[in-house]
Amino acid sequence: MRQETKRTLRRFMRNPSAIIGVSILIMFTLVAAFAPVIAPPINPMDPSRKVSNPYIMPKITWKAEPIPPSSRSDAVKEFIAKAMKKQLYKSKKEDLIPVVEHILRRARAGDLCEAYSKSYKIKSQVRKKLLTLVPELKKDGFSDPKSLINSYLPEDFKIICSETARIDGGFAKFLKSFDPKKMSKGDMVKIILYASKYLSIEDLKEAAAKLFKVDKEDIYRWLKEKKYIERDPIRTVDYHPFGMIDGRDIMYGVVWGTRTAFRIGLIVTFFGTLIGLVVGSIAGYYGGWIDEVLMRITDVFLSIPFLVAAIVLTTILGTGLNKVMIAMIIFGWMGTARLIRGNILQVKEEQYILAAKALGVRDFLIIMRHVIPNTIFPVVIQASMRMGSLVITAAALSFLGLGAPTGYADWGSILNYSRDWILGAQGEAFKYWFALTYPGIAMVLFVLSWNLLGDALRDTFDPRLRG
Amino acid sequence: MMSVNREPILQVKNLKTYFYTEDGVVRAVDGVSFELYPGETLGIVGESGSGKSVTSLSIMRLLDEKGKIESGEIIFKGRDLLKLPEHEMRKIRGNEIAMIFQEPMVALNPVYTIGDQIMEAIMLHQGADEKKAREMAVDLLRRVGIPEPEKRVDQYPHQLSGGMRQRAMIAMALSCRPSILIADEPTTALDVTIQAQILDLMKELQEEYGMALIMITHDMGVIAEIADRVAVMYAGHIVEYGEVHEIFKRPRHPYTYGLLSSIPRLDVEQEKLKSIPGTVPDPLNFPTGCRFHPRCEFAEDRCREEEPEMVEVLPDHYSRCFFWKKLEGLEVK
Repeated sequence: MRQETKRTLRRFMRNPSAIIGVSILIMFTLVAAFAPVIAPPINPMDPSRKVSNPYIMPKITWKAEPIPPSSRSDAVKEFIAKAMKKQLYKSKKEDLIPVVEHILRRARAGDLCEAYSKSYKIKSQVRKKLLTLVPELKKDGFSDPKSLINSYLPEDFKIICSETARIDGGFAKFLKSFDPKKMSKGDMVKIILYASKYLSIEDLKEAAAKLFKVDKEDIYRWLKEKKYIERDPIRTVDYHPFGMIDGRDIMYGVVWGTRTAFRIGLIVTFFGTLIGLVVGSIAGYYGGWIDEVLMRITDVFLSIPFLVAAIVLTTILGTGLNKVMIAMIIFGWMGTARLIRGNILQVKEEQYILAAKALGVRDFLIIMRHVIPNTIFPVVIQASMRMGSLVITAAALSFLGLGAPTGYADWGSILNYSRDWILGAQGEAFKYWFALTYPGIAMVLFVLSWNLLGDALRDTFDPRLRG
Repeated sequence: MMSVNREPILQVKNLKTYFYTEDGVVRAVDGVSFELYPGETLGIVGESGSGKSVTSLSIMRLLDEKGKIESGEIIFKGRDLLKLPEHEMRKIRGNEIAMIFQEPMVALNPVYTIGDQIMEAIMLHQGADEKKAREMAVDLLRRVGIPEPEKRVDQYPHQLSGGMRQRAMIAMALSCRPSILIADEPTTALDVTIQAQILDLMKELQEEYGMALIMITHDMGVIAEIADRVAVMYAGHIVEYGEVHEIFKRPRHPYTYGLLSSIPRLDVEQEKLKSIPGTVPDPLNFPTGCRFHPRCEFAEDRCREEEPEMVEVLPDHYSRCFFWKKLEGLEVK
């Protein structure tokens, strides 16, 4: 027995397609296992905060989310009321400071904006006030840029930055009060990145130029190289080796998509094959009316176009990757059922089945010991080939908006996601080649490796093919 | 006449097995009766389609869903096999009555080693554990003349030659020391030299195990070699039945006579091999009267209208022919 196992293993190891298939699969497995190490799930807008669902590719956004008025704090409401009624500039400095401090700590940018817009006259006053506050803030930990970024008032600071920046280029002035010489380049980049969420590129250029005393075109070029400005796909080497689409890192998607691919493939194949195996082997072995009923049910399932069925099913179940997997299981077992039934019908007539019966072996044991081992190999091959192709089917469903939500780390979704850029730019057909190439390569390799493995398994383990 | 005084171990009485096909009813076995005595060899001989394999499958109750045993009795050790429930029948299969098949290439499961397959039967019927069963399998393989049985026991069917596989099949069938072995054309697919070896082996083992053997074949040579008594089948009927030397010497049915005459002989100068004219009749549509009459050189009008019954032409020698007397004095050439 051990000798036979060794021989089988040797045969497997000598099979070139087995080696290629298995090594690619091992690579994918490693990538899937070490995804958090290869592509850490970090919010690029705020590295200190954890990403709640690592399967959603973090996005670098450029626009401030509007804040609903209901979330305003009482202090801000009061401030606005004062601004409107009493005219803020008439207030005593001592009264104003706590309010502004409060705003700095608690208020939202939108409220501040509203306050400005309500009364143009107080604008310059408040701005002055804010500027006078800066040295105080500086005393209060702002002098250390690192704590500024990482700990101190992260939300409100950013917002104040951006809001003041938006108004009359105040951002630049605001930032100017920090000493650039004392800041590391990385911290300055981070500050600019925060501000850039809310700024027009022109403003940003100006602010940055003023701040760093460099040519604004240089800053712009530098920012563009870092790819934090444009929505268009971007290819860089240092931070995002596979490039970016719409603010999402392609490499992140490819790495985490490996997990998605394995999950879809394994679950759907396992359950689909199991259902098919049960239905097909019962139909094939017992025959007669059981066969007739089961096969007609199979025919009914086969006659429903898969995409239509999946659409109907997701309207019932709701969209999402899990629902799509359910749809793929429900409408994906028929091939296996037919295959195993056909094989069983053939094997059933073999003389060794008759010989086993003539030895008095029970039906159940005949199915388990004699029929299944002689019919399972095409099913195993089919299953391993389906493992790959299911990823493509899931991609098709995502394309229709049924599958993974936008930005989900799924190869198919990335392809779908980047379809706006498939055609490239004017005159540059292959400008965004990376948007398709990397997820595409991952998919092709995944499908290929399962196919190779399936063939190798058959070549190795099916004794009927042994010479 | 060696066994007449003993009780038969197996008695088949008026067995009728029909197949219900889409084209109509095929009366593959149509009223077959014979007895098998302990330790003897009964040869069932006939052309393809004469119903000899169906007879053996009927005894085992292993017909496919289209085949149905219409009537008859199969008495084995006092019990009618046709009336046994399926689980009782399973205990008889392999254990009491075993079977070996024509094609050793396809009668062994390709995904298991021959050891596995022999052990399956031993463990099933004798409740032996795996280690014991394996020892027994090795012994059996040695007994059926397979060299290096310790090595062969772990080999797959495709690693063995045809003759070896048939030996392995025999080992499998004998694993539970059955009292009856049904051999369905066990040598047909083998080389002539191997055929002789297998027949010798079967004779040896039969004596050793004291079992009765039903040898199904279309080869008169095999019958002459191994059988004590012979039943000649034609179109679902036994047409002649008796002791083997008797039948070879004095055939009393024109079909048997034709079969014996068509054996090529070395001692007689023959220009052309003799054969029985015509072919086996269509089982959906047997001729009226005697089923052999279209091919029979002695046929008369009566043969076309009336179906002959089995008659005892000589002691323990039966023939299904009206005119068996015509064959008296005719020597087989």
